[in-house]
Parts: sequence; C-alpha cells; structure tokens
Amino acid sequence: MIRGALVTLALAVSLGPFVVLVVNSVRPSDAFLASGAGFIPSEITFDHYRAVFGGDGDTLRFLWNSVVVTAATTVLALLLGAPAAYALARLKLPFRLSIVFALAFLIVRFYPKITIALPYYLIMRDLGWLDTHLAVILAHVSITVPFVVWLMLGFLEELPREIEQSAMMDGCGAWGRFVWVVLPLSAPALGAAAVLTAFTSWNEFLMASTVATNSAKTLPVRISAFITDKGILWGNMAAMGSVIVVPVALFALATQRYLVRGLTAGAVKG
Amino acid sequence: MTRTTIMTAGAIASLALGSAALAQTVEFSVMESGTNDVAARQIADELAVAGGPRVNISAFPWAVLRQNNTTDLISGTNQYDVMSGGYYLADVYAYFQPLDDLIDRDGFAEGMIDNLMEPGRSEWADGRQIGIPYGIDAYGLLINTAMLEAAGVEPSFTDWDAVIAACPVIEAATGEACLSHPTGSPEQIGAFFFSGYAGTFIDGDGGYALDSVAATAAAEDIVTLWSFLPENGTAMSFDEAHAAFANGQAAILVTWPSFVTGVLDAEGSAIAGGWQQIDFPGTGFPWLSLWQLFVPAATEDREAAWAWIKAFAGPENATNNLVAHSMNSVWAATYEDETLMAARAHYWPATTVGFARAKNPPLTGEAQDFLTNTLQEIANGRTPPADGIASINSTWAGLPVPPPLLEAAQGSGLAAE
Amino acid sequence: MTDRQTLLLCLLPALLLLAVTQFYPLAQSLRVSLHDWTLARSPVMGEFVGGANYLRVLNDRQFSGALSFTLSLALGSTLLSLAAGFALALLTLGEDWRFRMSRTLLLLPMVIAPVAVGTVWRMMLAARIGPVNEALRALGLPTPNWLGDPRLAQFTLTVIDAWQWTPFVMIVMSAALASLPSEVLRAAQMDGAGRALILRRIVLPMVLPVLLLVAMFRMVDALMTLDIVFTTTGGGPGFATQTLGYWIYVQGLRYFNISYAAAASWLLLVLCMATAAGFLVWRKRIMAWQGGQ
Repeated sequence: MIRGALVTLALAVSLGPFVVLVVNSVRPSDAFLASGAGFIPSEITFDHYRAVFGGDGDTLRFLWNSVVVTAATTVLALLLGAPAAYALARLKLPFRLSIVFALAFLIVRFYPKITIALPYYLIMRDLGWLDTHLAVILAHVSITVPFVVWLMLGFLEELPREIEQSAMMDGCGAWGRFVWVVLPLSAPALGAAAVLTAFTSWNEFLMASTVATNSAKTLPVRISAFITDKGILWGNMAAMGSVIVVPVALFALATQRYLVRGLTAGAVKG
Repeated sequence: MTRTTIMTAGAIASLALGSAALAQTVEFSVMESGTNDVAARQIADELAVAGGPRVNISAFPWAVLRQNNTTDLISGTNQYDVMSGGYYLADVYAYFQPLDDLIDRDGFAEGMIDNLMEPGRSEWADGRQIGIPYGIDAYGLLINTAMLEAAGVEPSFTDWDAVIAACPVIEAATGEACLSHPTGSPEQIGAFFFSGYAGTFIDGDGGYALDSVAATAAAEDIVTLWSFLPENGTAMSFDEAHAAFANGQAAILVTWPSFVTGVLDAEGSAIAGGWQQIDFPGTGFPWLSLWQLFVPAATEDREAAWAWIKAFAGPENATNNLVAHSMNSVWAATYEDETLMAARAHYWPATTVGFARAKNPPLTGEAQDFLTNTLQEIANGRTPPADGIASINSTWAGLPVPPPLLEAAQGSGLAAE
Repeated sequence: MTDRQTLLLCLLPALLLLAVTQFYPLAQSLRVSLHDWTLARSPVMGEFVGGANYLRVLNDRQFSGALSFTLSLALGSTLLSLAAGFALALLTLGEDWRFRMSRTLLLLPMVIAPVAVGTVWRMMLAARIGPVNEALRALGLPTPNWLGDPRLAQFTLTVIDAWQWTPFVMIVMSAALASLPSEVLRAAQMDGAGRALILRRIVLPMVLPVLLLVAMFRMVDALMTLDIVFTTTGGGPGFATQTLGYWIYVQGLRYFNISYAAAASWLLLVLCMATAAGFLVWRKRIMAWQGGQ
C-alpha cells in the first residue's frame, strides 16, 4: 500500500546517509576517489579506523573528553535544575517573580549562543580556565538547565499537592519532601531530562570549540576540523564520522522513549 | 666490550647530565597535513632519544592552526613554546620574540637557499627576525606530458593567456578537461590571482588597494580558466583534484607541488613517469608558502625551543624530511645532491625556479579571506569581475596594514612608492 | 530552616549559574558592541562609539547577504520540515509495531551532532565522487553540483537542515495526534475520500497550536544555524552560504573584530527573540479564536 511505500522511502532517506558513512569508512580511499565506484566496496580496509584511533589520531582523548563533559553536564544539570523547578513550582514569590524567573530560564533557549561565546571566552581566559573540562561543562550546564527546569516544572505542576501533604504532616521539611516524595515520583521526567541533556551536551559545538582550544576538545570540535585540512582523506573523515554517529544512534534507539517524552512535554500541553 | 660499554655509558651520562637543564618540555603547534606533523613526530622522538627536550606535538588543519595560534597569543594562554606559521600571522607578530642572536651565535643561516632569511621571505618585525624557515613550497603547474603532446601544445606557458589559448586545443584533442585545481578549498584561488596580477597590494598611503584595471583583467582570466575544469569541478578537494590529474581526467594540475609529487610518483600511480612540472605562468608571482617556526615572547626556556628549532629545521634532517615526508628543504645543499636530483628531474628544475620567484602576499588573514572569497564569487559568475574588484578595494580600505607586512611589501615590490 | 528558605536555596544555584555564564556575558557583549575593540590590535577595550558598530553592520553587504540567506534557509527549512514531519506523523500513526519501529528509526537524523550531519552530507553530495551523484549517473539522470554551485548550495543546505530536524516535528506531532479524542483519531486513520477533508477541517485546527509551537522552535533554531555551514561549505562558494551565525563567528572568533561581531550578534538576538515572540502571539490569537468558536 502507498502508506508503506512512503514510510519506506522516508526510512531510506533518513538512514541512507548513515549506511553510506559506515560503508565509506571501510572502503580504501582510491576506490572512493575514482568515480564509478559501486555501492558495495570490493575491498574492505580498517586503515582509516587505525589512522583515526592511532597515535596521531588522538581520537580516544577527544572521545574521553566528550564522555567526561557529557556525564558531568548531565549530573550537574539535574542537580541544579530539578530543585530549581521544585522551588518555582512551590514557592510563592512577590512581584510575580516566579514568572520572571521562569522566563529567565526560558529565554536562554531563544537567543544565539554566538552572542555570549566571545565574552564567555574572555571570562574563562581571565579565570585561567581556558581549555579545561570545567569551562565546557559550565557552558553546557547553563544551556541545558533551562530544559531541565522546564521539563520538571511541567511535570511538577501536574503532580497533586496531596501527595506532599501527608509528608508535610509527618513533619517533613521542603527538602525532605523533595528528595523522598517528589523525586521518586518524577523518575520518568528526570529520565527524559537526563537523556535530552546528554544529547545536547554530546552534540554541542559552538561553546566547546570556543573554550576548548586544544586538549579539552570534544568530538564535534574534532570532526569540524577535518574539512579545512589540506590532506585528510575521505576515508578517515568517514571513519571519524562513524565514530561520532554510530554510538549516538545506538544510544538514541535505546533511550528513545525518554527522548520522545522530553521533547513533547510542554509542547503538547495547552 | 666492557670498555665500549663504559664509554657509551659515560657518553650517555654526560649527555644526560648536560641535558638535565634541557629536560624541559617544548609545546609545538604544527599543521596536520600528513607531512609536517609526521616529520615533527619522527624528529621529536629522535630528539628525545638523543637526550634533548621532550617535544609535545599539537597538529591542526591549516585554518584551525592559524586560529589556534592567534587565539593562544591573544588570549594570553601561551600554551605553545614554538609555533608553526607564516605571513598570515602578521597581526600577532608583536607577540613573538626575535631570534637574531641565536641565529648568529650558531651560524644557522649558513647554507640556506639564498635570500630565504631576508624580510619579505622570512618574517621580521621591528627590524629583527622572528621566523625561522623550515619548509618551502611555491604554487606549481604540472602537466600530463602525453596529453599535451597529443594536442601538439608546447609545455611552456608564459602567462595565463597562453594557458587559456592552449586549453581548447587540449580539450579537443584529448576529450578530457584541461585544468584541475583544488577549487573546494576557497583560499587556493589566490594562486591564480597572485600570479596573474602584476600590480601592487598596498598603495602610496600605506593602505590595502589593488590596481583596478590589472586586477579586473586577472579576475577575468580566472573566470575563463574555470570553464576548463572537469564537470562539476568547482568544489573539488585536494584529493579529488589530484586524483583527477593522476587518472588522466585533466591535462594540467595547478596546486602545491609538495602535496602531490609523492603521490604521483608512488608505486601503482597511473601517471608515474608521465608528468612534469613547468614554470608557473603569469607576470605576478607564484604564491610562496614558507613554513616558519616562531617563538612566542612568553616562552621561558629559549634554549629548549631553539634546540627543537635546530633539530626540526636544521640541515641534518632536511634530506629525510624531503624523501620521507615531502617537505621541501630550505637548504641549498639538498638541491645539489645528484641522487635526489636524478629521481626528481621532472620537477626540481621548475620547483627551484619557482622558489626564486615566489613571494608572500602582504595580506592579513581577513584581507586575504575577503580577496579569495570574492574571487570565488567572480569565478562562479555571481559577481562581475569589475564589481568584485571594486568591493574588494572598498572592504580593504577599512582594514589596517600591520607594519611588518608593509615593510615586507616594500621590500618585495608589492607596495606602491 | 523554613520551607521558604529551603526553596529559595534550591532555586539559587541554577539562577546564579545562569547569571554568571549567560546573562553577564550577554550584558558584556552589549557593552562591547558599543565600544571600539579589535582584539588582535589591542588587549583592552577601546573608546565608546555608541551605535557606530551597529550602523556599520547594517550597511555591510556581507550582513545583508547573510541575512537574506539566513531568512530563506529558516523559512525553507521550517516549511519543509513542518510538512514532512506532519506527513510522517500521520503516516506512522498507530500502535502497530511497524509504525512504532518506524517512528523510532526515523528519529535518528535528529540525534546526530549537526557538525557530523554536515560532514556526512558533504561526503554524500561530493559532485564528482559522492554516492548521490553516482546513483544519479547510474540512472542516467543529471548530476547537479550540489555544494559547488552557489544557488544550488543554498538550496542544498536548506534541505539538509530540514532533513536533520524533520524527526523533531514528527515526534511532537505524533504526540499531538495521539492525544486527540479517539473518534477523531479513528476518522483520521481511515482510508477513503473523507479522509483528506477530516484532516483539513478537523485534525489540522485541533493541532494547530502545537504546530505553531514546533514552527517557532524550528524557525528560531534555523535562524541561528552555524554548525552545518561549518562542515559543508564553510560559507562558500564565495559568500553564498554564509548564515548570520557563521559570519558572526568568523568576524569574532577568527578575525577577532570583537565589537563588530558583538553588534551583529545582538542584531541576530533581536531577530530571534522577535520571531519567538511573534509566533507565541500568533499562537495565542489562534487559540483564543478557536476557544471562542
């Protein structure tokens, strides 16, 4: 039926490039450079992966940087964002400050980070934190905390107050209620927030390339540099691309439920 | 046996003791091209084994290297002790320390190709030398011998008009494209302009300006030349362009010879023995690429940095750098070597002529980028040549000329009186 | 400690972080844009020049070129991804395992780093040796110069951006469709002549608020495009595919024309905020109008 055909076409267009990427990463370069190369490579070589991971490739170091930055960002964003969302949901502030603060978190999403990239760079320079994991982590956390706050806020507002009331009557303070009652109930939302944060941080390019000038570089910064080089071969670029793309794709498939929840929360409400 | 062992141990010990002061780390930034960086790592290993300073290599693609070096100096991070770069770092010359005293003390300049240590070739600031050359290349024109013969075209072009006249003949005779060039790397188009434009880059008032008439003519030539590229060839990477030439799909290749000579002569290459480099056409100059080593003023251990410079750029490793890594030597002796010359007779003569004629354009990064991007717009037909040149002049009027580049331009005849 | 104090303490760290890493740099950026500063030439900020930088930016042909391309890319990519995403949401509507798996697989382009997406497509679209043109050549079709022809490159980038973010639209619209009342859902899924009418008259108005919200996110993000330009064309050929974000990046972080880049970036900020506000107002109007019906 035509529906199936269209969906199959969409799948081919969406996934085709990934297949091509992986195929080209094991195809010898001369085969790629000579026009007329077929789709199935006649020879397979792992030279490109060796080159990318080898001594001069430094890819493992950048992979490690990405892992460190993403893990730290996710943890910190949740640590800062979830309590903040709880506060915004439960705190009564004068002068409609709750709305002001909520908006403050909101607007971070809507301006181009290039505006703050250079001043942020100068601040990190003055602090002596250039080219450190910390500089990248702080930038990433500041970008993702708004997501976390938003997600959790939407979830918390739906949470019936009665649940906390019984804890309150037991003499539980706000923090206790948050940790023992609210957090366990928010596990799905937290999961969504964590996954969304992880993806954002893993894929982020601008801030990472601005403040991580050498040893703290992450994978996206690394792959962006292949293009302007005078001699890098397509095969290596494909191998590098596969290193970035395949793990992320697998992780996405595994966590897609949380990802979807994270993206749709707030959008589908009123 | 025992005596030798003791003597060797003693030698190593004294070397180690003597180099205790030298057991420093030198941070080095270099281009990641598969040539300079690979050579650097090899020499760094050898230096460490010989008891010299430990050298940490950080390699980046060209544009990233330029950006990282500049950022490192301007931000005061000062991560690198020795930097690899060229004339396009003019904006940050103030951050480098002069090396004249070390050059004179160790007689480093002796035996180098004539004039390479002069201003306009090597980098000088405030009358003192800051850049030590280690790799030289001049934009080259390579031809497929058989294809030109088939078309009855003489392998000799004085200017681009001659090439333009020959190309239709070549294309008709061979059925292939006439010209291949790494069009996908936007800055490369400069090569055609610098050689086709015989005017000045800096006017009498010390500001950037092109002579409109000459510049427009050169730009028009580029438009015509672009029509001789292979089909869909306006965004070819270096690899693609070189492969097109090697596979006989283009008769003429205009590129940095050092990137391609090794590949063309490699075993299994379709074109081995069937190509040669000829003199670069044009009344302007072939684009010079003189890779140099700079030492930031903030570098504390001068001697360690200098030890690395001598190892990497010195005459001892020049031949190996050439043979193993395709880095053209800056030392005259290399080119007098009979064995090397025998294997390279099809390009060294043109190469060395090119070195003598080649110059650096006295342009900052921003000025050069605007020039080459606009030339691309002209070549693509998005902007008429005259308008494009006019917009270059108008934008250039707002860009200051760093004094070192002005000096260099005056020295090499690229600035008006 | 009272509840109130605890809650304030919960709120503080996040606000503080934002203040230091986002809002303070934002203010600094504004301040710098009102002075004269080129980092390469001077380590300290120069004198106050008021709106001079802004005027220079507005008169710069590079700015107007980048603005026009950015707008066309944003509009094109948003429209394309809205149409394709909504269509895919409709096509994969349902709990059948095949639909659920398709939805999952179809989301993959979105989770890849935009810089990597650029790299992948650059390889796919290499005019002489890339797989896309190889396939076209094998079929006897013309092989366009996707990234080497200035006009075509602009179109290509628009499509690449749409390709990457269509899954986002699809996911949100899938959720929106799934939350519709079941009678409507069943009617939307049935085959036959009435289907199109139901979609247009009933389903579309019901999901319009969500559609506008998604459109807002897409449009604003597309206005800020930088990553894919970096790895596909580097703003080329010539200046053809320079987006505002990319041009600002080059001015600020490559040439270190800090105050010039700051002024341009604030202009982009205003554009983005105005777009977001515009969509939100539009959406409110639609919802109010629908509510009154």
